[in-house]
Amino acid sequence: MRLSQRLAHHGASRSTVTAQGPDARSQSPLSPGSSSGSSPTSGSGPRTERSATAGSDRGFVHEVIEVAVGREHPRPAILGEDLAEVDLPTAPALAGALRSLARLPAAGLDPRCPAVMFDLETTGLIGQPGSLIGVAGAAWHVAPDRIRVEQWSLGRVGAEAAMLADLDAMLRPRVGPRCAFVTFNGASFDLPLLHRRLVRHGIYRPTDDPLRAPHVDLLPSARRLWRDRGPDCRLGTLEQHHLRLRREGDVGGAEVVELLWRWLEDPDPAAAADLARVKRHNRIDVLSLAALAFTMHDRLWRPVDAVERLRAARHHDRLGRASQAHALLKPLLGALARGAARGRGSDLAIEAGLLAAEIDRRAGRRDEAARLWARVCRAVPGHPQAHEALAKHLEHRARRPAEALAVAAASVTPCARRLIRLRTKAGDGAVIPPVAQVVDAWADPSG
Amino acid sequence: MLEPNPSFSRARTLLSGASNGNGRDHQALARTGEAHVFAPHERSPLTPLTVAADEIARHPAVDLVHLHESSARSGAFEPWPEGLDPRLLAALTGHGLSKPYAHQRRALDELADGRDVVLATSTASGKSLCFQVPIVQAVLRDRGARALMIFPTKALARDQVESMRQLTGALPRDAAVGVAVYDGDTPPAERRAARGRAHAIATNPDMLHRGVLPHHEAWGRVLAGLRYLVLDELHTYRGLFGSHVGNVLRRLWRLCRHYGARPQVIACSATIAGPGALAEALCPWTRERGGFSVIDRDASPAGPRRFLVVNPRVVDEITGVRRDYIKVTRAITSVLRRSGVATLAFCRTRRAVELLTRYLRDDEAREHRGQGDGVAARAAASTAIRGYRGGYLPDRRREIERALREGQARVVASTNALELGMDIGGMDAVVLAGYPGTRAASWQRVGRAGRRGDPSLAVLVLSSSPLDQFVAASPEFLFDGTVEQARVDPDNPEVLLPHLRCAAQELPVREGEALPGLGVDDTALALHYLADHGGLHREPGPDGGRFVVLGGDAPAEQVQIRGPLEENFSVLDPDGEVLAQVDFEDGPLYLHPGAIYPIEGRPYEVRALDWDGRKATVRPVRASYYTVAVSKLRVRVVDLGQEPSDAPEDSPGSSYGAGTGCAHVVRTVPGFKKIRFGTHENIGFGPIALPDLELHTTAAFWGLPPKAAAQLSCPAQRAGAALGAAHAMRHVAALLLMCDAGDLRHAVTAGHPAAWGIALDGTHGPDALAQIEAGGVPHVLLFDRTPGGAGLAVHAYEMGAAFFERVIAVVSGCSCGDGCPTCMGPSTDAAEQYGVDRAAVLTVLRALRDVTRG
Repeated sequence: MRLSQRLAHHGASRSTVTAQGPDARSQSPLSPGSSSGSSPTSGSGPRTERSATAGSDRGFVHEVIEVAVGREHPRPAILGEDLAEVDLPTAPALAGALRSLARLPAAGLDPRCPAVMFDLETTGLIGQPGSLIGVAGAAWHVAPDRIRVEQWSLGRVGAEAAMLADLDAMLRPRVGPRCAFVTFNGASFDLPLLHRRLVRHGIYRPTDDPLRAPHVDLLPSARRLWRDRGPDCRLGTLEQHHLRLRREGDVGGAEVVELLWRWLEDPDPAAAADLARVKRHNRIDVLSLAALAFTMHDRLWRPVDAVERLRAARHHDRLGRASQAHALLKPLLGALARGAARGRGSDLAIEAGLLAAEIDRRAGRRDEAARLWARVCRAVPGHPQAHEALAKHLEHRARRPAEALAVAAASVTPCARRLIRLRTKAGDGAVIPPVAQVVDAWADPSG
Repeated sequence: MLEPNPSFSRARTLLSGASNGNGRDHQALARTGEAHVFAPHERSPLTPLTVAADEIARHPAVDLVHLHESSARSGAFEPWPEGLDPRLLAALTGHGLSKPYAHQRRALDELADGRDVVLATSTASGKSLCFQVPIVQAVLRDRGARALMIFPTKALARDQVESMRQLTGALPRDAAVGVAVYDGDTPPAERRAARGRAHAIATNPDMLHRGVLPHHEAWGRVLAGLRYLVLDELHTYRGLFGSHVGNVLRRLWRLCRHYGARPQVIACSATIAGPGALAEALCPWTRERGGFSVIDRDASPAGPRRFLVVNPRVVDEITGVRRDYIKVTRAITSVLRRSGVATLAFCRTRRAVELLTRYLRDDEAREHRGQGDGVAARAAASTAIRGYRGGYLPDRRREIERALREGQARVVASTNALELGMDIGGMDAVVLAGYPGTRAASWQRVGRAGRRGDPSLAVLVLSSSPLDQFVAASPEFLFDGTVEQARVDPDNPEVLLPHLRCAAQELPVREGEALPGLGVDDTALALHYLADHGGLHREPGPDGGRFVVLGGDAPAEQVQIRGPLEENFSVLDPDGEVLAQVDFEDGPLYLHPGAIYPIEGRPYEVRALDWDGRKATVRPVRASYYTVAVSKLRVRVVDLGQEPSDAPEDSPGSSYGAGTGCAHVVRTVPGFKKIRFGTHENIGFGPIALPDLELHTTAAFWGLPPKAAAQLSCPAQRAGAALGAAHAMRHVAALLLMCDAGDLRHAVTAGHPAAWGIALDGTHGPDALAQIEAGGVPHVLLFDRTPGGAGLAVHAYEMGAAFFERVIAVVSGCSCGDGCPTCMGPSTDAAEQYGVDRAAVLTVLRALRDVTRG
């Protein structure tokens, strides 16, 4: 039987095809004009590169605005008041800031255009087959003090391929060894999702990744610096706490999914207004990424309190900037150095001492490391890490097995094999000095 | 499985005419020209196998109905083709594969010519090598080459990957070829590795449908490099399931094109009629490049095989009652067991597997008790005799397969679970406890016997069911007939449309795009149909419209290609350890409190059933009986989509015409019987209070008009004839609708179709009440087995009188005497009770045809 007849029978026997059932949608197809309902881009200096209607023919809209970095210049009206109190970094400032945040190629970033801030709004999580890219935002410096925000938004589901091809055509020549991606959680979300969608639509071959560029994901650094120091480490929270950026009428993550689908399913004026909110959210995101990067850089060099100082030092140390880390730790070590009474000393100072000692050890400053370990042992008798490190130093470097034995044995978690070995080394008749005496001697060698 | 094609009228006639047993059988043998004096056989030397065969032929419990001997076939070998990578050649010769069989060579040549190939040679004829070699060769030539290997089950995929790794493991280190499984059991890290690094990936249609295609970009590297698509056990992709698989493959092919790949297809099938047609129906895109090369000439060596068909002896000359076939199978298999011959006993039901396992172990232990203590004898019996069926945990199944391969297990009783290509090595003998229902399934199972040219033995023990007795009366049916065809219909809208949604989600479908095998016009038709009904959304665009899925739902999650999956029941021991799994529908039958649930013959009693938690707690017991649940089927047609065609005449017992609607089917399990082990006598009864199972599906019904009812004056005759007609209608509908007979069900009820009626069907009956009810004014029902329906019964109805003409032609035009399994007649006890005669069935069919006309 012909399929047409079979479909007729199908229709006669069943009323619906799917769980969704027939909906009014098929009677109101997207008219070409209706996807141009995006917000007007008036204000100081924003311009739309291609007219909204021209964009909607292709099923997506591409809009461009430019923003001056200083807050003394009025922001485009389309951004609202959210960024009114925020300074954006200049291009060279951003280049420097990104150097503080991540390991970057030796050649460094282009100080005229160091990065593309990038953020996606999607209809679902990565790995969900139905999650497509609804809005993509990218921002970069077109002049030292001007940032351009380009934004693509989808007018219909079937146009995602065309939109991503357009986005790719802009990104590909721009990012590269001297122009990094800056994202928030982009390492596990935005960039892999973008790649997957590009592959899915056949724009990239599955084996290729032409968008290879340095990537500064602000989320891990933010976590390192500010974990447990606020309700969470979401971008919006960090903006509130550290950027004095307050978003008016912002949309949440789950809401974005809902609003994007509403718009794609039924692009009426109300949905268009909602889409405009998502787009504003996305524009603020890419701009606040720049501001956040700069603020984090600032705090990494000028921490506001002891906790942040320790964490900044860790960050620098992890990025291979041991001397900067050491310098940041200096003020924290005072509590140990001033001969604080035995058994006292803040946790912060202990951690700082151990980190500084580790940096000293790696740099070959063995004695300084030993002094710090001894000071930690003095502040917290039995501290396993410090006792072990000091015992090792005494055994292998200073070659004083008796002292090493005293220190090793006093650890709260002594290592049996080390004790046996040290007893052998020290010899049968060796006099084992009291541990306090050893620790004091090494903590203040001059005294 | 292919559905039994039962009937029996002829067998019945033969039986009633020739209840004098032995003499007739021997005459039948003589007539068919077989060597009717089986032993002594000059040609065959005295081996344990031939001795056992002789003993079986003369066994007092059976009559030998037929002996079929096939002579040995020597293998035909050819050299490996030129240009085979030397590293691969070395690996092959290292495995003793210095020369391929001629059919393997031909497959490789056809593949080298760029053809798609379907192999339909016997079990153990080296079909796997025909895809392993080209895959490895392709990877050695191009490291980016990939292959997807689709197996119907996870176990088979695992088995084949191990087998392929033995070949690839012999390759040098710099020529490594990665082989991996990707299925629901693969942990995430291994999944990534499989996608990223494996060259050959084994998976199943379900994973392809839900796990691969919707996320195709993650598979881009695999799809872009795809050189070969392997479809193993092709014959399992038939009926509704096959139609779903056909659409999954369509989607796969569409994505392959998207990534620029044009893989060749290598399909392997058991012996079925028209493997090329099935392969083409599943892979319609191969038509434009010349279709499949069918390779069915088997060049592997085969030993001589004896095939004995035996019928249990008649125990009561007056009634013609024969010995219980399970008990006879026990006796026959014990002959082989004592001879130390490696034997596989295929049973039709899981219960039969358990009974046989227990009986054989008992016999084995008893015989060895004389030589030692009883405990050791039982332990030895448990090692040598094993049971194998679905429901056992995978570990246990793997362990039994290994025991078979390595020879610790000598006799294994199994369901069709061992029918597919699991590697269990060769067996010396296969016993079929009951006719498997189709010739294809029979040969597939018998093919398990015979190791590399050694003689083998197959014994078919017939049951007393009419179909089996038909085989007894006409054994040539088994040997001369061609094997059954496997049918699929991927264009069934009920199947096609949901998969089209999946396709649109994978990549928006452009207006003007043609789905493989569907053409531009039909694709457009289906797309617009979906758009009109809200299944897809059509978006206009400057370069033509696109059909897309809105709302971010995952259409693939809504399409169950194997029918709906209800969570199954776990069988737990008192410590909470899982012992076995039971399918949801079987739960009430096997796991009601008080049921005896055996595992490899060991009885467990069900203490409690947690219905919502899907858990049954059992404890080991020493039971002298097993339990059989009684089930009843009730059905009514509600929400009549098509009104009954003509107003009933205003008289009691009149018909309600014909129509379609939604069927509400309820299965009740009211109680269970206790049956004593060994004697199989009924020793008690108990009630069961468990929820009914309900099925809502689509149905068609036809009521017998009063005139015809008057012609068949005896209610029992009416009921029986209606049942025979329903059976024939189901099978012919399956034929015309290209589905499996098991995708449809039939029933006979009485009274208005919207009122509850007790249904008679293949598994439910006979029942006095049902007989009276159905004997009133029978209504024949066909309904789809899939919840929600698959358009099959309705489609049969839409064919109208033409459908009945086909059924009538089949029933009346068969060359058999009075009706045979191919043309009509149920295989159940019900038929035996009601009696079926062809004239009555034809009367019913003609009357139903006229109802449809009216």
